[in-house]
Amino acid sequence: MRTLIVDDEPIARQVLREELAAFSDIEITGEAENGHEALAQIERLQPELVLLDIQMPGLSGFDVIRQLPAGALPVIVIVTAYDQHAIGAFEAGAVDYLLKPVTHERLERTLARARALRGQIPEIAGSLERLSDAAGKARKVAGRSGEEFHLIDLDDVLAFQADREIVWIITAKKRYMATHPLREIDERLRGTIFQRVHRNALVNVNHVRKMTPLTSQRWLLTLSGGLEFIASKRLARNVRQMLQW
Amino acid sequence: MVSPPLINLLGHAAGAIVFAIFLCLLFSGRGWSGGHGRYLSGLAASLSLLWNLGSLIVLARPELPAGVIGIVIAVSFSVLSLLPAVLLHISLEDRQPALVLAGYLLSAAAIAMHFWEIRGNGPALHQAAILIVTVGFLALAVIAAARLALRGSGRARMVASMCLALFAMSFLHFGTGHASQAWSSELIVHHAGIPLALLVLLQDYRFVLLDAFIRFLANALLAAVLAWIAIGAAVRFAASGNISRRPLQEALLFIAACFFLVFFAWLRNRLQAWLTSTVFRQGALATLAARIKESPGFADELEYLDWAAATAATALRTPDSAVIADRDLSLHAPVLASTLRDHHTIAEWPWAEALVPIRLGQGASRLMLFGHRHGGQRYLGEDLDALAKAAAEIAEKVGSLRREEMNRLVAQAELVALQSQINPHFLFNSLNALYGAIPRSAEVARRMALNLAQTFRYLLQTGRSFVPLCEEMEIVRAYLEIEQCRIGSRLAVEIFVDDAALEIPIPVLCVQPLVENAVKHGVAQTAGPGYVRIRIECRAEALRVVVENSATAASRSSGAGLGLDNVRRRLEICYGAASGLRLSLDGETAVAELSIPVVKSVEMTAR
Repeated sequence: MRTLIVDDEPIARQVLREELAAFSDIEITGEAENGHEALAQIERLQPELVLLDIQMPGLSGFDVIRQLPAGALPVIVIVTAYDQHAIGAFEAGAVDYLLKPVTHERLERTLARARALRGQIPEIAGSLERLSDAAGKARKVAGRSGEEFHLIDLDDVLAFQADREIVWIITAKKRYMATHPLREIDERLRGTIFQRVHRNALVNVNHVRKMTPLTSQRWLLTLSGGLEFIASKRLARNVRQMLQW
Repeated sequence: MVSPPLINLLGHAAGAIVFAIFLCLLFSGRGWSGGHGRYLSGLAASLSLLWNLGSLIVLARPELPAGVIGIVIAVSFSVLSLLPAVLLHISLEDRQPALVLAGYLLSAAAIAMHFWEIRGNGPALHQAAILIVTVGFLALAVIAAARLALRGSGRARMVASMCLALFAMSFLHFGTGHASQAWSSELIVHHAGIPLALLVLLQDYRFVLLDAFIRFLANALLAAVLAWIAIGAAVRFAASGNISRRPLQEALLFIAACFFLVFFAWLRNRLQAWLTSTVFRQGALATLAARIKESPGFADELEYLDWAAATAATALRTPDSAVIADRDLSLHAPVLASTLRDHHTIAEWPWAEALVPIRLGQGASRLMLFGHRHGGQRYLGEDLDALAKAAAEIAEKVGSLRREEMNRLVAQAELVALQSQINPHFLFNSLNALYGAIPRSAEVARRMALNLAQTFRYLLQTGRSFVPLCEEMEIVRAYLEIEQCRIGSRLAVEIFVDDAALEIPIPVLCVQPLVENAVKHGVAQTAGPGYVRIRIECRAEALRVVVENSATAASRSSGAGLGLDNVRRRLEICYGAASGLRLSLDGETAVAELSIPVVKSVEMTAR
């Protein structure tokens, strides 16, 4: 995989170079030490993967993504020292987000993801459109697992569940922490396949497998994977209407 | 136009209504603020009601057969004879059982005589019975008052006894039985019994709604006076003979009636306002909640609570106030101390007259106590309502103070203060450069750089006060690796974490300070080897975190640090009394134990 390293610090580039040397399929085609150089190199070398620092003199990493030449659609991975930009990075169109110093294990996961996405560049490219469909509705959501950030397809999300201040994004395989409070997620996802069933929970109605009345006021919702929620009658009715049961 | 039978009828009707309302209030559960003496008060009110009803029957239906009238008279006088005994019992409240018993015996004798009247020799027996009751209760009331004065008991009880004495004296005029003929001068004495009996009944202010009762009486009285004037005017108008059904006159009459009603409403409002400001002297309390809302800035919760209590105490005009923790009362609304007389809180705070709960959420609550009010003023229903409103404002303010404090504590724990001085980009880029500069062969040094970066990243994060346990534990592991690097093989580390606990939310940085403390006191200060053992278990309702370290003489003498105080306070804010941090020493092992309540969400059970 042809790879470009963009960072203004030589030693940071060296760290990445040394770490990448352990992966036989990675071919480092070039290095850039600022945004302008990065844009020029991307146009000239047509890399498949760009490891991009955010804070650089002149053009920042975000500027580079915004000004990507037409037709050049590499997999972008943000590499930064401090994680205040995580959500912005995903919104700008990056597929992953690494924190310096990068460990071997973390880099391995990122490269696996980049390889998987390499064939579908047009789909992962673009910027904000990627996160929303034509009607402006969200299609993906950023979730965090430890220090890693992931972009999760909303169709894969079974439910959002708040526990104290933590909001879990529950998928069939894994749980992630959402980056926004449940209230904001609810507002953003209004009118989509997600329905509030409880003060603490939003469920994906497409994953509802069973609805059982518990009492006259409470319904038990069973999602695929055996996940269960108790919903009030009123909210359960909304789910039924959405599913046209 | 004003004839004695009319006054008698109205007086007894008023008495019947007043006591009927009293009974309704007493047993509706709304007005009642205590358990003791309820049935005695009820009995006294019922007796008064019966007496007034009996008198009404005799006055209104004199044409009934003599036998029936005789029985009615006997019953109503028996009732009247029993009343002072019950009132004596109420005013003495089990204090002088001998006097109370004597009162009941007197009444029993009088009742027997009244019933004997039916069989003949009426007037003489009647006179004798009345005399027994009058003289007997006069004596008993004076003795009771004297004894109370000697013992220095409350003024209220003295007043009650004197009222009782007056009440007994008012019996004197009943010598000739129920008379429908003119008594003129005795009329006032006759009906004095009603307010006097009321005074005895109300002497303990057992009603939270005493004020409501008085307000009702005032309204009824005002309505009666105005109705009297209106009827008088109407009668005079009719008597003047120029009444005719001309439309103009009818219209004028209609308008006059409307104005009269409006006037009544206006007058009633003025009267109530006057009662509020002059009789109940509530002025300062009405605005208490608003004043507490606009409090000056406070940084500390306790300082604020003290200020709020002092403000309320000033408004209530009491010199005594205190704020204490509500351990086991769990009140929902302000109450009078007299309703909780056997509770140990009252025993500990004997001066407290009113208790106001401040409900702070998380099950924790505090009590504000207020003492005797200036000039013997009582705590009325309205006062308690005003205090309840103020308490809600106080609780809200404390809530926001706690949120602020929580943020401050988290910031302290997280080094966010330092963040404004360190540029995180500089720090992490430098660590990255250091990482790059270390030869790949120096595995330990590279791990150290990674762990440092991870630890600082966690400590410098912002905006999260809860994290899943697994995140905290990653930082604990990174931190311990750094310490092991520094201290070397002297530090033995054991970590056990229950898998079920990994996703439980915990306050950020509540385990790491315990571990830091354990390393600092257990191992870092000694020359020999030491250990730190971390054990985290998920029990049914709580997460239990136990951090143990080898204790030495030096570590035993040193106290717990600021970091642990910070953890303790945050746990208190988040979970109230349900959580806690305990430090103990078990032989050669120092133990820090932390327990965090787990709310198992019912909504979600992953199978």
